[in-house]
Amino acid sequence: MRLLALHIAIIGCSLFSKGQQDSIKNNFLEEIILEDSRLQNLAVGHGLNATADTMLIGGHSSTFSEFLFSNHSNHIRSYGPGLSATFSSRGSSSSQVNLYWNNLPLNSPGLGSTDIGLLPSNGFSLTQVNGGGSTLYGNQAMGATVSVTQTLFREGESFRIGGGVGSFGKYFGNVSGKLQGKKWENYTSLNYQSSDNDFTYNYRNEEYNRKNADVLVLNITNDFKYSFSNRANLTVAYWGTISDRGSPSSYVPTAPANSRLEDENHKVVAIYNQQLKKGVISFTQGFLSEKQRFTDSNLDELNSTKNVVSKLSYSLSFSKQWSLFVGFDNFWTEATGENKTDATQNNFSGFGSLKYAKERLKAVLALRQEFIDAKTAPFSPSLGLEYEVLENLAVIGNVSYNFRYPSLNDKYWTVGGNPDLKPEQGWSGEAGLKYTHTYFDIEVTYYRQSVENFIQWIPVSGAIWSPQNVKEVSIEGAEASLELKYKVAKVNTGLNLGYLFNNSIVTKSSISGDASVGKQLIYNPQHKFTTSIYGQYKSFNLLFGSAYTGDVFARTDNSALSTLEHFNVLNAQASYILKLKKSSFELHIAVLNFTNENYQTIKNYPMPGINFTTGITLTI
Amino acid sequence: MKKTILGLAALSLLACTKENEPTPAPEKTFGTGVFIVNEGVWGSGESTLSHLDESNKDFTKSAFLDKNGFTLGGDVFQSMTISGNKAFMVINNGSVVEVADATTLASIGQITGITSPRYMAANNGLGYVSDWASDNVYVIDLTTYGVLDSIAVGSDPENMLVDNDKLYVANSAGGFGSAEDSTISIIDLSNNTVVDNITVGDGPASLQMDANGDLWVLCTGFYNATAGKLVKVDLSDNSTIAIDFPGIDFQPVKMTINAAGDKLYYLYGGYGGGSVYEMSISSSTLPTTPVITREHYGLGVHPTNNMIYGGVAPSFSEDGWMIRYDLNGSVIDSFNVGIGPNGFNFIN
Repeated sequence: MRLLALHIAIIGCSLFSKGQQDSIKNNFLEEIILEDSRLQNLAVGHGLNATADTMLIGGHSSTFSEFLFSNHSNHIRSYGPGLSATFSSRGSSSSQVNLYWNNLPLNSPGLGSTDIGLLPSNGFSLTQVNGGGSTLYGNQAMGATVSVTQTLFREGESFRIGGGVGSFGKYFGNVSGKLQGKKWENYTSLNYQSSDNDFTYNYRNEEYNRKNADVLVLNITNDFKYSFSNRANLTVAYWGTISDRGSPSSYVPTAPANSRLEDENHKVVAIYNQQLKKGVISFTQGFLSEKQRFTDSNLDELNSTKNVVSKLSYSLSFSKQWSLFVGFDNFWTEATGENKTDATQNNFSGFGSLKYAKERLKAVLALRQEFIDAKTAPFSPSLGLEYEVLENLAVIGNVSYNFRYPSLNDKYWTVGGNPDLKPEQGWSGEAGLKYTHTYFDIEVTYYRQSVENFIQWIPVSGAIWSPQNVKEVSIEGAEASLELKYKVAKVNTGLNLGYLFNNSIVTKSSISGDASVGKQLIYNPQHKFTTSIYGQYKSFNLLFGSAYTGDVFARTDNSALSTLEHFNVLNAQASYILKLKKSSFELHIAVLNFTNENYQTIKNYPMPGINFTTGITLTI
Repeated sequence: MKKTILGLAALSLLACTKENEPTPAPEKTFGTGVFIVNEGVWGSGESTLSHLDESNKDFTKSAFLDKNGFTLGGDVFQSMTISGNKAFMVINNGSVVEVADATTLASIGQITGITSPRYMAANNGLGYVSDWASDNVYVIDLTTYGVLDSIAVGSDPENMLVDNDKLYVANSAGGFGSAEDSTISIIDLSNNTVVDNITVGDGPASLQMDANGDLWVLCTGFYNATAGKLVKVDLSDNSTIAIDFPGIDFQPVKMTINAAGDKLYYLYGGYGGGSVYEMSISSSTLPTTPVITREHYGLGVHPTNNMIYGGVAPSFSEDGWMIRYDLNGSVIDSFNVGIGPNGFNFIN
């Protein structure tokens, strides 16, 4: 029953809750997983915005993008459910956010962003730290840093099988298992998602079925952990993704409908942690490979990248108050393919952070210098502070200098790639208040960021587009969130509210007569408001969520024609959990977009109206 | 219950207001003036047609949308041809040719089944649409909008020109995954067969007929490999005279001609086009200084009012400009048009 209660609490809270996942993590070797201190150090003085557990919300059927979407800080641009999608946070671009899994970056070195349509639907939990994070996470961490960790099982569980169906020919299934010895654990999971995505939409007052939007994605992960002693451990992890998806045209029914995207990604990583006489040392060695094949009636293009990631870090607590975290990161990348000038790139960086924590004060000072192909990238310092003014009230703040080096496509795309691009860079800072109460938490944050050398692809000759450092951008905004938990009679209830106000304004442009100056960056809503309400009674759970996204502009001049109208998507989900002696069955049903809102997140790419998913999960 | 009644009352009030609306002003017509072809952003699913009535400077930014309540069927609105009081709007990345009444712009049909249409020429109730995807010119019945025939030509057929019952087709391929081409195809319109191919220069894209009956072909050159060429074809014996552009840094594009047929105009030297150059058909060398120094994407020369029309596309993520100049290159006025104004269609 304790477990069940916890489960419910997480279903309800995980959209915005903080730190809940800790309690479901396996305690095995927890003490010396060193990379956690990187995230914890980064989090000091930042809005630690959300943790979301993909296994526990969404009835095992939601997608990664739905989780990110349910967070008020984030904006998702999606070509359709399960199709190519990217996200940005606090008015950044999708290349200015970083996702990490087992110390490995998930952003594609080619595209510079993560296609969240490829990520599996469950078995992960996300921790998002908003604001600049380049000092500890390097390149790209300008808008937010998201740590993705596997949370396959709660205590006492070792096997799960589930599956279900949904509207528009959707099928999903997953199997995961845990094996365990005295000194080792092994987790395996297999995740399948497919959909015809042939939902209906309206064009020129007639109904059409979406064409060429079908999705097939398979994800396999395996995590092996071995403990040599209580002073040393090793993790070896693998994540493979194979997909075959349509690449639909806009909603114009006559437009070509034969483009396809096939992806094949592999990630392997080994992490070794060793407790020394003083401090802890950690080595990471990872290898990533990604292949993407694009085909249509004329083209058949294969582009691939290989990436070798090496990390060394050391942490030392030299007194009760002071601790040190230092390290080196190295990323070596090779890009090959039809659309690439074959190229390699090496990013090497050294960083260090010093943390002070005493009674009411926490402070982290950090520095990083990155070298890209032996050229120095911007020097990145940061300072984060948290101070408890009153027992329940903390003031937080940080300031940092962040950068985003151009992606390999930006630099080496054939034709148009621009190897002379400078990194996007600038200062960012925030200040806020956190109030914690038995029944509720409130957080309010003001943030600011400047971006110089903002990169935009513009036509430079005939049909040739090329990325150029053309703009300066000033980002300013505020976030507020409220998390409320209450028990009425035997019903556990909760309410989460989140609001983002964001102005991302172009302040300068090197394009003559550029009408974007003074205007909002494209695909960045000025307002986002999210709500989730949950209730749990015995074995029944209800979850209701809504996400309002304000008007978004698809063009840099913010012309009226380019407006994507504001929309509000409402989802509801019910589940029933049948507890048996050693196992549990869960039956879940979800109604997505139940008000049948007509909306788009990319101009003229329709999204589905009301739709359903249902499924069953057995956990032993 | 009270709320419901109130709600109903509000609804009925609304209904009343609607009925009492004043009758709308008479609808605009577009029988005179100039149409501006705005490409739109690739993949965006929309493009716009602007219109200017020069007699009273009445400007309509999104004329087709205003009339029909929906945007043109796709993006990369490449070109427009008017024939038999019908406007044929070739939407490259919509795989469609939109057909509208040329005076009112009321949508009246679509020509579909052509994957990558670029330009349309009309002759004797038939349309000829060049298609990059198939390297064909398709023959269209301009009353039923059905495809009657296809004629295989060179690689990436682009601009076409009808003269003396012959159709001249510029085979424009200059790289980017297409087989490179340096020829124009000549189709006999009496039997729709290719009767000749003439080698001109690399990547021929624009065609104009001058006052002497000579055919001028502007070749862009192959991207980053060969220089552009301006080629004069003597149609009596298909002999050619070529003038080379200075290098491979820039590609000359969008050649047009004045009404007298004695001056050629083209864009060269930069972004998606370049500055406007003017050359007499009697010259044997290229002009070295532009008549208008400014980046243009679209170019037109008005048949009667002695003005040069320039399309400016600052970037393809914001609206562009149509600027009107006198023949000396001085600005007369400008209009905020749609994204990527790539050409002008002067209504005779």
